[in-house]
Amino acid sequence: MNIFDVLCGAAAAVVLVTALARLNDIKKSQATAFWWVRRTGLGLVSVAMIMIIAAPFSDSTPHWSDIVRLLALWGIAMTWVTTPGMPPWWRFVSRYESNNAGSGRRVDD
Amino acid sequence: MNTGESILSFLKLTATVAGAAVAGAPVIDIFNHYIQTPVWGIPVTVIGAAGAGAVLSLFFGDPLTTRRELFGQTFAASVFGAAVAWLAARALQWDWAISNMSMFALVSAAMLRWFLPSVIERGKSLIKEFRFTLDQKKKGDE
Repeated sequence: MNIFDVLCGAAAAVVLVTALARLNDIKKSQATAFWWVRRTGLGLVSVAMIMIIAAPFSDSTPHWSDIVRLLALWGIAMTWVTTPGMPPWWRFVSRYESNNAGSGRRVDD
Repeated sequence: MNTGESILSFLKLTATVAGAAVAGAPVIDIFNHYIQTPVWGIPVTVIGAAGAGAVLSLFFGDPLTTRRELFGQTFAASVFGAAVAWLAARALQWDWAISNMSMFALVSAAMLRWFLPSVIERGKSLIKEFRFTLDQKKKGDE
């Protein structure tokens, strides 16, 4: 582990906490395809960040960083596209989920 | 800009870049200093799969009501899921589990995330009952 890993791990922890919190904020009643895309995106981001944080403590496997890149990029893309009110995507995706979108916060911090 | 000015400008640029490289070298070198960390011998993909199991279990069932529960259970399920898969597969010499370690860790973590809270609660109640019994014996002795 070097300073580079520490800096990457700190940022990954922030992203992981955010992704898990937002994933848990999705209500059980929000069960349309739109919300399942969002759940999947947040899940992929979380897994990628867990791998980045765990990497210095575990054995590396072939192409693991490629897996992280794939998971993180698709996760961020799916999450960002389905973020309520996020321009320019919301204009196109809101037709699939105009109700019940809100800010989505459910748990008090 | 005449030739003399061009040469002077080029020399200034070269001196600035060289100075920045010399001044920045220690900063770059910091990134290569290694910090000793424990390496558990578990492949990073197995831990990632355990994390995926813990996160997937959040997709279903009732959402957790506090952040503490959310982060605690996800962290615990990821770590224990990877550890259980790694240790159980090798200790019991399950070839199918050793060759599919990541998927075994994923399922272990998902199951642990669901069952761990109830197991912990049961453990707490057992400890309380055990203490109660001890207290009764002490009172009786007195």
